[in-house]
This record gives sequence, structure tokens and C-alpha cells, in this order.
Amino acid sequence: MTVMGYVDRPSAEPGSALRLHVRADGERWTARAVRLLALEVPSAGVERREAPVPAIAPIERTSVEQLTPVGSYVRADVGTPPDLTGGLTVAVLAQPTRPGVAEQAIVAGGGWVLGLDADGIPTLWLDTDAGRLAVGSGTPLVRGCWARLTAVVDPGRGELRIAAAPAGTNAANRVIDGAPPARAIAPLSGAPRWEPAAPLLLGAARLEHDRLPRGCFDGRIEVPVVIAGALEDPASLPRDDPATIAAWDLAHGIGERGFAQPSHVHDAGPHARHGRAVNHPTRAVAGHAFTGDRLDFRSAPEQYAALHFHSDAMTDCRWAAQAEVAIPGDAPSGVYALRLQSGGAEDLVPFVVRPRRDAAGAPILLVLSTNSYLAYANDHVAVDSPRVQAWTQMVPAVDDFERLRYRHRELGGSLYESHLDGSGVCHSTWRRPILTMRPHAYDHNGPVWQFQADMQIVDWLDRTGRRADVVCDHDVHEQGAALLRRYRCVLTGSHPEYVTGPMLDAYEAYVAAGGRLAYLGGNGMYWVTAYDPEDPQVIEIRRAAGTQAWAALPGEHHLSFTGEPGGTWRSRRRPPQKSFGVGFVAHGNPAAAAGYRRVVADGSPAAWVFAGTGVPADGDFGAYGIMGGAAGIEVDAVDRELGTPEAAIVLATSNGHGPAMVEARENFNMTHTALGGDRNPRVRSDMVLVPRGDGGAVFATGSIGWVSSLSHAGGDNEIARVLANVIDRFVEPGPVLD
Amino acid sequence: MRLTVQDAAVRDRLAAGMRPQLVEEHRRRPFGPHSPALADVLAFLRRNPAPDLPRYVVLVHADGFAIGIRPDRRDADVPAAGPERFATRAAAEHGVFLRRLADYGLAP
Repeated sequence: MTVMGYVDRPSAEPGSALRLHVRADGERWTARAVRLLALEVPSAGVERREAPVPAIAPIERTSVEQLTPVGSYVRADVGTPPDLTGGLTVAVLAQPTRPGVAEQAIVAGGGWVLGLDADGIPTLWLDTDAGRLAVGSGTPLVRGCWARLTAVVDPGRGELRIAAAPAGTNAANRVIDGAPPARAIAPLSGAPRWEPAAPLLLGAARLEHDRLPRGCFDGRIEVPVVIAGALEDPASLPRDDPATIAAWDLAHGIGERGFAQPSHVHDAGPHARHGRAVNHPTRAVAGHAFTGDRLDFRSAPEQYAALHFHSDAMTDCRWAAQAEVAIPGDAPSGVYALRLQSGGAEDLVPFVVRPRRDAAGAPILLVLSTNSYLAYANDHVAVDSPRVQAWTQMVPAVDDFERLRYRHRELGGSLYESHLDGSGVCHSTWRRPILTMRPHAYDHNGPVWQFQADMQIVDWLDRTGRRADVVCDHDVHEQGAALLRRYRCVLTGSHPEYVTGPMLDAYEAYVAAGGRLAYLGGNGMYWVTAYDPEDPQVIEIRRAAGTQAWAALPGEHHLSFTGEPGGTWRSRRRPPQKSFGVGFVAHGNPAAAAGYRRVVADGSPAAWVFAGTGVPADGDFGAYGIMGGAAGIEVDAVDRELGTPEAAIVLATSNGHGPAMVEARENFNMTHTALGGDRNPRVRSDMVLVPRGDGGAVFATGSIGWVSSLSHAGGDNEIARVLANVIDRFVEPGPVLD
Repeated sequence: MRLTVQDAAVRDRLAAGMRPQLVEEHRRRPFGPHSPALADVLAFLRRNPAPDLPRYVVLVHADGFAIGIRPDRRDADVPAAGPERFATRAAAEHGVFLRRLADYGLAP
């Protein structure tokens, strides 16, 4: 028995409501709200702490069937049904990325499909009163190569015709030699059973229950045209001819800021049968005319007039919302969850109550790295990746809860894996149960990761009596520095890796105007990230120029949601060193973690950071913690050339990493054999304090593993003392330096 | 066992150097630190260089640990490789190591 659910967004203000979507095997399910104060870490003896929230009314509902549509497609409703008595002509450019595994539909309508058969052969299928007819060109298409397909239903001649011809430039095709030209004719041995009122589809053969795509296509589609009548040369028909049922321009909508409406698929024909994209087929991808001399889709839309469809894409579970969760008007900001129960099964669905826009309930603000949670959401890397064990230096361990995630692939994957066709997953969504954002410890990268790791900060703040409001990444993106300025001190999470331009602007504006930021993680401010302009619950990235799980194809580094170059912020000359003092230098497993050596002298104006720790100048500390050591997993260091301010004071630097802590690839230009932490001085974490103007400052831990040392020895340790010193100094109005 | 020319050469080199002492070293310290010779063997095995050989995971159960095998289909469950249970995570790690040595013909 299982029960799982999600809310429609990660954070809500007091007085608002969240929509709850639940799937349960039991006849009924219940939901009760709790406030989360600490998540359990069994290996470290950390116990869960939570408090009931009676002000949020319990919910009980009868379970309903919840089916998840998987596969990206475009749907265009026809409105006035076209007259198909004279036949049908369909023309399209297609680049299959996974031919020969199953029947796949490229363009479909009521009673007909143009696609590939299970051998990858272009085929037209037609329903008739003599059964389902088919004509195939006879020659499979080549993976990654464009082909021009034309299919005709010709009642006048009594024929079904199909033709396939190679297309695409040298740069657009994976290999030089695509499939040779091929054509075939078959008798039209029955009267077509048209369903002219049925929707037209791109990338799927049909919609079961009007919402579940079947026969999905893996690959790219360009200039699909559907015409009423049997034409020898569909290109000869003017696009505005009334016989044009639909002629979609997949480059329509490209602007300076990308696609303002990514889901809108424009019909350039006379009948405005516009389509709606579902599950985010990838935009801003090279089409058949790509030459390689224009690498920004905004500058050459004609070279990017394609959509890339994936049969395993999922960006919205579309489960029916069965309840609204009303957040009380006086609810304090914090981390909450809905405990779902059904038939003995249980799930915990986290959400954040953020502060009202006009108020701050505490002197401290914690920004949970929710974009990063999305990036790692529901990942299957431990089992799917052949190389993950070379990274973790151990066999991945999966428990029953993780095996559940592996069985339920319909819940989508993470930005660290590839689609079935090998292309990288570049979209992630809140609109699904995120099973990696659950109390269960996450073993792939270490005993705590992402949400579980950041809850250690929530735990520490609560246990030490330091009040903090809590927000999500999107809240910072949307409200900017105006949100941050309401607080004396702002804390990041342990791994704020995925940030938008407005978020970076907000952090910089905040500290430049006197704000005090504690960057409590590592590998932060790394990937250029954007929200879907139509739906901020979906993010997009393109991986390039970084240490990365996959690589975007050349010419496809720009984000479709905003038009901006993707990749890393460093590759856009905004390395994190500029605003945060440190930036990513190395990564490794917990066994390669290390402690720190204090390097700030007793007489330094920043020596107060170590007050009460007992750590002398040149003393060692921090070689403990749940993640192997306070300096671990992914670490950041000072780099003056990349913009670490001159005023930055290095408080401590890590020492003693093992060979499995390896320098990040973007930090060196030519490969060499001295990459490991046992022989490479560039592999280190720097803990820094950066004074800024107007009394502002940044404290950076330079390590993902840092907060996982807070609980060591029952919280009585140097790392915890340092954090207390920093926060207590930051919230006071006095100067940061003595 | 389908290995590239290069990986076959690596396997042969490792096979020539395999000793019972390396297996015992792994049993005592499956998570390291490892000697250079053992690290060399693990670097090969952890890449899963032969696509036709099993890829293992450790299954965590309430009553111990077991060895699982990556299924052929993405949406299938991760099945156990056998009925054996290990009392500790370290023992399971070593159990995977022994299977891999056998798979690649590297058992001394």
C-alpha cells in the first residue's frame, strides 16, 4: 500500500491556500499538518522533531484514481472539422533519436498516424472500413539524422503513398549519411474512417482518456503541415490556402527573452489551429537547417525551428486536486509538512510558510535551496548510471523507499539523468511527488542531502533559540532584494547550486547595501537557472562549461524560458567569488572530506569568529560530522582572479583531503595526473569573511558538508560555535570587524 | 564479457597482479583507505566497463543488506541477486566486490 502527494507550490503566505494532490491505494486518505523542526538522521542519532498544527484543519477524502501522463506532445483542437473527402497530405521534417524500439507517432489525427514503425521505418497508418491499413517506406531512418517525410491518402487514385528523403545540414545531423531516399505506394483498399473533429497531435498517436499520450515519439519535429486533399508536392501549396488544415511554425514566439509562452505552438496556416505543448517538449533546439555558425537561437530562429519530444518526459502529474490547505493568517514562517495516511501507508509532503510581504517575523531569514531540490528531484542515478560508483567510491545502497521511486518512473526524473534517447533532462517540476524530499536519509551522495541537509540548519536554529523566517528560492527570485532587506541576516542552504539572475542580483544588492549574508554551503550559485514564464513551478537549465552530469549540444546552451545563455554563472563572468567570496573548486565523497586549519590570527579584526571555540591560530578543527568532515562533498575556495574581493579574510582553510576529492574540471585547462586532494593544493575549502560597504558582509563556509557537522557531540563543537558567533554578530547593528 | 580493446588490456593487467591479500584488504576495509593496487582494481570495477555484465547495488532491508542487480527496464523493481543477507553495510560492499571479481575473471 502506498500514499503519496504534492502541493501545487513549495511556499505560501499566511492567509493563502495550497492545493493538495494525493494518490492513495487505500479507500480513503487523511492529511494532517505538522511543523518540521528537525528530520531524523539515524546514522548520527539525530531524531525527528515536529509539532502538530491544529490551526490547519485535518483533511479526509475518498481516494480517486490518479493517472500521470508521460511523454511530451502537442495537442491542437481543430474546431471546425476539415473536409477530408478529397484525401489528406501530411509533410514534416523529423529527426528520430530513438528509432527502432517501438511504434512512434510524429503527426497524428483522427483515424491516421504518420510515424515510425517498430523498426524505425517511416509509415502512414490509416483506419478504414477494411481495417487498419499501413504503408511503410521500407527503409529505417538513421538515429539523429533529419528526414523529410511526406504521406498522402489519395482516394482519387485509391492509394496510400509515403516518401522519405534525407534532409538536414552536416552540422544538424549526427552522421553524414542518413537514410537514403525511399518511397512506397499501397492500395487504399477501404474507405477511410476519418475522425475530423479529433485533435491533431505532434509527438503522440492518441490520447487515452483524452489525456494520456500513447505511441510517443523520441526526436525532433520541424515544419509539420497537414493539408486537406491529396497533393504530390505539399510545398507548392501556399501556407494560407484554405486547404491547409494546419502548418505549425515551431520557431514562432522566439524573442529576445526566449519564448514568452513556451507551451504555445503557433499555427501559421489560415485556421489558427494553435497547439498546446504538454510535458515541455524542449525548445531552443537545433533544427534541420542548423549550420553551427549561429549558436544563440534568438539570432537565427530559422535554424532552431524544431521541438524535441521525449517519450518519458513529465512536467506535470496533472492529478486532480482534492483539497485546499488553508494556511492560517497568523501562521509563523517555517517548514511544514502534510502527513498523509492511507491504509497503513504514510507520506510527508513538505512545504514552506513564508512571511507576509510586508513583514519580517524574525531577524534571520533562511532561504531553502528549493531549485536545487528540484534539480535532484526523484533522481535515479544510483541505479541507472554506470559511473556513479566511480564518483561515490562505493556501491550505491537503496532501501525499500528508494526502490519505490525506481518503480514509479512516471513521477519523472532529475536534472542529473538522461531521457531514454540519451539527451539530458533539462526541465524539473514541483507538480509531482518529490520522493527525494522526504525524511528518509538519502544515501547516494551521503547520509544527508539537499532538503534533509538543510533541515539541519532549521534544527540548529530551533535548538539554539534563534528565530528565523523561511522562504524558497523562487521567493527571492520574485521579491528580490526587497525581501532580503527586511532581515539583519540571511542564510543560504547547504547547496544553493541553481540560481536565477534575479536571485544573484538580489543577494548582491542586499550585501552591497549593508546586508549580512551567510552562505552556508558549497558549489553554490553555479548553474544558470530559469523559471517557465507560464508556470514558475518548472525550471530549466542547460549544462555546459561546468562539472556536469550531461552536456547540452553545441548551439543549445541558451535557455528557452528566458533566452539567456545557460551553463554556469562563471561562464557568464559572474562567478560566485565576486559576491560570495568563494566558488566551486573540488568534489568528492564523504571519505575524502577533511577538517579545517584556522589561519586567521588572534589579532585579526575577524578573530571573533573563533571566540569560545578553543581553536588557536593554526589550530585544526572540524574533522567530524555526518558527511565525513566539515569540508566535504563539494567545496569552494577563494580565487582573486575570479573576483574574490581584496577585503576578503580567509578564516580557515581545509587540509587533509583524500585522493577522491578531485579538482573540478573547469578549474584547469589541460588534464594532468595530480587532481586528487592528496596531492593538489587547489583542492581545499576556504572559510571566509568578506566585509562589504555600509556595514554589510558575507560569511562563506565553502563546503556542502559544513552544516552536517553542527550536530556533532550534541551540538557542542567548533563548527556550531563559529556559526553562532557569525549569526549573533550579523544580527547586531555594530560593525562586522573589530 | 564484452570489453573494449583498452579495457581488456586493463583487465589482463589487473588479473596478472591479483593476490589473495588484495581481497583480504578489501574485506577489512571495503570503504578504504585502499592500497594503490586495490584502488586500481576498484577503479576498473566501479566503472562497470562491460555492458553485458551485471551492475550491482546494495539493497537495504530491515533485517540486513542484500545484493541487487540493475534491471533491464527502467521502471522495473531492483531485484535481489540472491538470497544472501549481510549483517553490515561493509559486508555487503565486500560481497559485491567478490561477485565483480568473479564476473570479470579477476578472482585470485
